[in-house]
Amino acid sequence: MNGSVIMSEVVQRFGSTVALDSVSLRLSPGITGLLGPNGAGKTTLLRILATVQEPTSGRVGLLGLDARSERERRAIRRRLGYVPQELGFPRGFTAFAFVEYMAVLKEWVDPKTRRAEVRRVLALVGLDSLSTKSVSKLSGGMRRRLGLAQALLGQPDLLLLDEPTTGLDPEQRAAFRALMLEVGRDATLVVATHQTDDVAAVCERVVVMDEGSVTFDGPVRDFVGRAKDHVWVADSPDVSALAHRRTASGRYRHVGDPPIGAEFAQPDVEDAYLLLRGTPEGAMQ
Amino acid sequence: MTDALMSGSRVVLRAGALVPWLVLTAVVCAGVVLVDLVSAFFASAAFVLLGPLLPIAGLGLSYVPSVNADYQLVVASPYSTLRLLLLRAAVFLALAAPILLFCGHRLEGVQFGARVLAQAAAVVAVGLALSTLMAPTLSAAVASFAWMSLVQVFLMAGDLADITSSHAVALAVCTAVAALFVLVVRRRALSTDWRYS
Repeated sequence: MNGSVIMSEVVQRFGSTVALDSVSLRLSPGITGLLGPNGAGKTTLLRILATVQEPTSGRVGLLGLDARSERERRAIRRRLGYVPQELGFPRGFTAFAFVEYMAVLKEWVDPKTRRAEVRRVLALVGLDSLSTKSVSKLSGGMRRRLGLAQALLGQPDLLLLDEPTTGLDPEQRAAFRALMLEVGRDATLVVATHQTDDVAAVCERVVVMDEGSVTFDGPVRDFVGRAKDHVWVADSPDVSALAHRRTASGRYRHVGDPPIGAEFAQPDVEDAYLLLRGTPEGAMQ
Repeated sequence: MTDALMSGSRVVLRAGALVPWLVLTAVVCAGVVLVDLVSAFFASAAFVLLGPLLPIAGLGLSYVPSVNADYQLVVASPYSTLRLLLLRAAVFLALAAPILLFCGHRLEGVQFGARVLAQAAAVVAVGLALSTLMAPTLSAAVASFAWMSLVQVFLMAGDLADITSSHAVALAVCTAVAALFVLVVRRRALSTDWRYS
């Protein structure tokens, strides 16, 4: 199998609900953003890639290995980092003890190299000075960073992050983005997010999902390019637009079919996303 | 391996399951001792009914979602989920063993306690085997219910002592071995998160 991630005709059903509807993807090293509304299937897709969940049907190849085989699944997990959306921690652990526990589960057998690796990843996420602090006393943002630290153990080839910037303040988000850019140089990084500015800042590629299907898959610049001539600004909101929002300048930014004489603006990822979401199915394809 | 064992035990012991389990165990033991003051028969019956459920209750509690918050991370790691499940079961059996032996000794002698412990091991093994089909919390509940139903049958037949006889203990050992065999054969089912299966 070529490529880091190959999904072919993957279907996931939960009873009568179709969470993923024949999804096919091929991802290579680099950073891919996974965008979509709640319930679009992003988390389900990440769980399948994390080998936590087996799809109802279809093929999943990760890092050249078949996720259906138990032996190969363990080999995948040795090269995988995963931060789930609902990140839970066992009680009574310090930040260091938690990451060390995860390192044990990731088969870091030698205590000396294991502890050095734990110190390395804690420093990467800026938690080295808080390593002796109890996890229960860390803020929400710090816990997200701690979750990220365990995912970075052993420099994984495939890193899956589900809503990683939730709860991070602007400074932490900036630091997170810098870290993602560094990690994404060598690894395949998939980031599921609602934050279109995260996608604009770090991703080379974007996959947009809706109701279990992929509605866009391509480079971020192509995605943004589709919104060209569909974004304009005005002094007052135009209710005929698909979407509008107030900007810091006090003017209104619109997405949709512009009126005659509109003052066009450079589209961004959010514009393209709103246009895709607001446009009748297929019109953007 | 030793490190994994130590860390795994640490998770079990530090996890929120331990305190509720200790409270439950204390309540059961105190209840049995109090009943013993009134009726030795009912105390033994209560101990036979509830004693074997103590280790499986600990195992079930350790998989309650609020306690087992890091479950998805554990499943996504290369560490065997089967090994962790067995480790947790072993920890609760080891913790329950002295308690069951002591209570058994107080009631009818240490051999009585050892026989109840053997039944407890069988209930745990059945619970482990069932966890390949359903969530560990549910499998613990089903195994517990099966044990209580069995005790009820013996009680209604009026021969409760038979459930701790040598034959019954031998049957418990066979059941445990068979259940562990099922667990090993079906271990693949533990390799993914049961919540999304």
